[in-house]
Amino acid sequence: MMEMYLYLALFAPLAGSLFAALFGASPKTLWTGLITSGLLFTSFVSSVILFSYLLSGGEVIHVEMMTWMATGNLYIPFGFVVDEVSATMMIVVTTVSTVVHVYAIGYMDHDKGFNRFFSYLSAFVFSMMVLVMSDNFAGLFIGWEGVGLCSWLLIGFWYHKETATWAANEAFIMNRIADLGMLIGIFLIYWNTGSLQYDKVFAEVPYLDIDTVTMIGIFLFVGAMGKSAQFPLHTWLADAMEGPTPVSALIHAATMVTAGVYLVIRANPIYDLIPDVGYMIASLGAFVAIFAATMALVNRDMKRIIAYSTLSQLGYMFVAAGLGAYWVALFHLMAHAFFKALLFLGAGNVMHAMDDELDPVKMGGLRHAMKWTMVMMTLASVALAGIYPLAGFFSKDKILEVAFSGDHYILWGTLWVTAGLTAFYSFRLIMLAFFGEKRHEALGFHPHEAYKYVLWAMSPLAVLAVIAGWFEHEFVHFITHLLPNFEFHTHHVEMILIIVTSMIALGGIITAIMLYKNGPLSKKWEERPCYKVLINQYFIPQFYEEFFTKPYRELSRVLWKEVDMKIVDASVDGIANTIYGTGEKTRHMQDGNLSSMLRWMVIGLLILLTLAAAFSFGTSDTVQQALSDLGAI
Amino acid sequence: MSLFALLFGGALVSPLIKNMALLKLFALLILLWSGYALSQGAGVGLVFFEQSSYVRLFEAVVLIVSAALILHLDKEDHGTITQLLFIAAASMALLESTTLLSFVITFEAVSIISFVLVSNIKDATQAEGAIKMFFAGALASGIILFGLGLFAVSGHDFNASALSVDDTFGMIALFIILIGIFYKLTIFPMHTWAADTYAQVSHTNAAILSAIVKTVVALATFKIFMPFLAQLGEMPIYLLAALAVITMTLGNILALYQKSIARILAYSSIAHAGYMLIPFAAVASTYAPTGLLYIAVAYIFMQSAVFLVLEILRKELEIKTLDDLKGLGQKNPLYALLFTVQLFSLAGIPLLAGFIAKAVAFYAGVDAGLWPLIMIALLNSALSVGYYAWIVKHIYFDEAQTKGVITGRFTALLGQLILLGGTIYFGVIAADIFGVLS
Repeated sequence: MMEMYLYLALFAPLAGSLFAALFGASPKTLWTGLITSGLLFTSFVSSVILFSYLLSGGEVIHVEMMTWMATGNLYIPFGFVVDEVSATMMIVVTTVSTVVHVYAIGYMDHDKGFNRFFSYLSAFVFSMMVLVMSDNFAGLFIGWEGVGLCSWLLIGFWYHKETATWAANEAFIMNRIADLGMLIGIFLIYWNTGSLQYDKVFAEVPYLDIDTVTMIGIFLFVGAMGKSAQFPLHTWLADAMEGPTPVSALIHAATMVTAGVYLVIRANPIYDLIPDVGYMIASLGAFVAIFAATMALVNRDMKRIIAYSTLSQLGYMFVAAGLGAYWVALFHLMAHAFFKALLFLGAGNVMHAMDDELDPVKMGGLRHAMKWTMVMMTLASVALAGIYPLAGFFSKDKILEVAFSGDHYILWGTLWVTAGLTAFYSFRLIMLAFFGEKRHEALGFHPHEAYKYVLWAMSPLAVLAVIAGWFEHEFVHFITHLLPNFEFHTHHVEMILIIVTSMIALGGIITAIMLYKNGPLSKKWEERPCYKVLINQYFIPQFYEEFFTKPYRELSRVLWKEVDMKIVDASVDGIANTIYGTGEKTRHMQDGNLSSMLRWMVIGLLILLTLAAAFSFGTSDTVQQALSDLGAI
Repeated sequence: MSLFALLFGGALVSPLIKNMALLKLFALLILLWSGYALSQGAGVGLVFFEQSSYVRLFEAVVLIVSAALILHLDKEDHGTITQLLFIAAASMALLESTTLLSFVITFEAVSIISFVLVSNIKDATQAEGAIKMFFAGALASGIILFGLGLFAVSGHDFNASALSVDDTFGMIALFIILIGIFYKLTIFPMHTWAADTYAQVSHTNAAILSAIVKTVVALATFKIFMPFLAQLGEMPIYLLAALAVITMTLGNILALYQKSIARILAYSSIAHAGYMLIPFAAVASTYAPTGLLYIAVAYIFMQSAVFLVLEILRKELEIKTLDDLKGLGQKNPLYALLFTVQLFSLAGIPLLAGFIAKAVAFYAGVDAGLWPLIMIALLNSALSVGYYAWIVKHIYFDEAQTKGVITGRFTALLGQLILLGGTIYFGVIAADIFGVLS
């Protein structure tokens, strides 16, 4: 019986995607939006049923749908598992995606590609469900690539924007590069344990050589870095904001970018064995937390501010996961998904009201026109800042406690400062957009509140952003069936920590309110060097462009034009023309000749033969040594 | 009935049939009959030729892809059907050859028919491509014969069933032969002709050359040379690994800069030759034969499919460059989708054949301990997404130019669906290919 719900939760989004794809090319039909949303809701309900089944003490549900690869000792099925971790992830994914689907019916109202959009969006949810429900690393990887592909389609959805297609490709390629790290990790796992099933692998891992486990841990984390946009692979996330806002809310805040955190949580038996790697992950996380928060301080693009905030919060999650507090990471992942998605959807409302204007400096005083959006975004911001009793307070506070408990005071200090910055930039955005003078009037905007049902669609997230943290004890009890419990050694200072953290968050909020209550700061600020560094994202995108993208493109050009065409390659225009009579003499870049091509083949042959002979004779040990060092292959 | 005789006889009879529709039907029937014969256990049936389940699977795939190709062809390609049947016959023989002599003879047979295939010249560009292939091929044949001569002079038997040598001259002779064969596989530095030939001859011919001929040669070579490679020490393995790295990297980097779609696909084909060399280097691993078989199966489907779609696009819409491709997704969603799926398979996206093919081949490398090679290969496959996604970007993410709708013959579409089926089937169900070796 429960298996049926498992399949329902998994395949309802796929059915929705295929249905919408049928009408992909035709103009907007409201039905596609409604039916995909309905199917998503079905998936949500099934997830809730599965979750409550587990909650009431039910057994972990494990199914094997079919065999994917099987031969001798290799056996990889398409298997799915619903345990405490995947059930929690399923709830998060289906809740946010159902809300986003309904929201998108209103948001994409006037878009030509309405049906196409829903097809992609549902396909994304399906991939994400495969990712979290798979019972082995192969299935995880399939979902992993699937969400990457859908993310690519969705970032580039508005393809008439050149920046959008560029951002889509950037995200895709950067993720693929990180994925190869993950693939190596998976190879290593299979090579050493002979299986890819989680249970078998995790049972086997403690008997492995510690260096091997370290390598596995590092390579898997490289994959996680790509998906969760950790430094130095973080640039794609901010650029991904070119996609439609519901996409940003679902993929680039609540679900896909947390896949990296999910991977570390899921692979906790591996990371438990290698605390050093865990500490590295935590340190990187803390760095990203403050690094991204600083970039959010000055940015003038509403969605990018929220994107940097997402980066920063992912950093928090990695601190918790890296230090072994897996359930805390999962807890923050869940709470963050709710309030961050809400924040994005609110930003979407503002964008609609302001004709896609994203600069909060040009807004101001929107609270009059958009009361409910203002309320919900403020609520989400308070939750993000971590003020009692909203969701962010409980989860973020726990992470700080984890850092303090392990005597990692530098990590704690970093996160503590970041908490202040977070509160500051969140309220800078709120103040600039919703309060102060109506600067937009001078620019000729006529903002209006979003559709009623759009606001209703957002309301579940608003409720969750408030209450999600209240069930901490129940959650701990539930999740520690599967995840290790974390021993806190902070009981004596717990209250002090909470007060200190809340103080800095409140301080951040108050500073932002005081500074921005009369609108943006004077232009003078923008002259300062630190502003320039931050607004240019520490010049990292320029660095990548200058040192990676351009040289690679240049290498390709030079190799082709200068080497392959001129030296290696050659044309036989002459001979071909003689035989065929006439020819296209004007064709450029065909200025070699056949003899040079053949000469190259012969030279190549001679070189290879010499090498082969040298190897075969094996007369010279030094040559062999030199070559093996050189090739090191 | 012998598989070879069936296909060869069919090829001999085929020029007599003047009506194209009848000829296609005839060729399909021959292929169907061959398929039936194959399922009954028929092989070439001559001395020095032998079938195994490994070979049989690939023979079946070659027959299926040939059928898809025949469905694709139209009136102008009258001669191509005959040549395709000849190639299929020679391919069966090449795949089943068990000794060096039978291997070299059938290899030359495939080469000669390939020359005849590209000799169907319609303009100067095609002439150029054909001439290049001819000269490079002639040189390669010379190299192979030279190696064969050396092999004989150093006192070895052509007809020994398992290739193994213990003297230096024999080893060098086999290396010379192997390098000559690498020309057909477009391995660096024998790759130069391929970028031009694949891009310049008609796309249908490019599909036959780069998909069928290349994979058949790769598989047959591996079969014959595996004992020899396995007996070698580490050093020549390093040499093969280095060639693999150079070939795939060169192909991928050069593909990135191209504007012409055919040229991108040509360089992508060279890059894939580099991937195919990985199992050669990883011969020590038990996964090497599976890896190569998987790459061959996946590649024959996706590579022939992309060139055939391109042929349709060129014929009906004059699409040649990336810019011509803009907005194809809006006007011709079906063909755009067919093209996209195969491109993604080439890029190695999961649940398409190209992904498992690479995964298994790369894993063979890991298993053989060739870590640096696999790292570079993985990096290559990640970067190659750059140009595959770039093509797809033009298809979907750019505003449509004024362009017609593809009317497309039904049979050509059917051929495409067969190829699509192969790419998806072998992407989802891997058990068939893993099964043949266990």
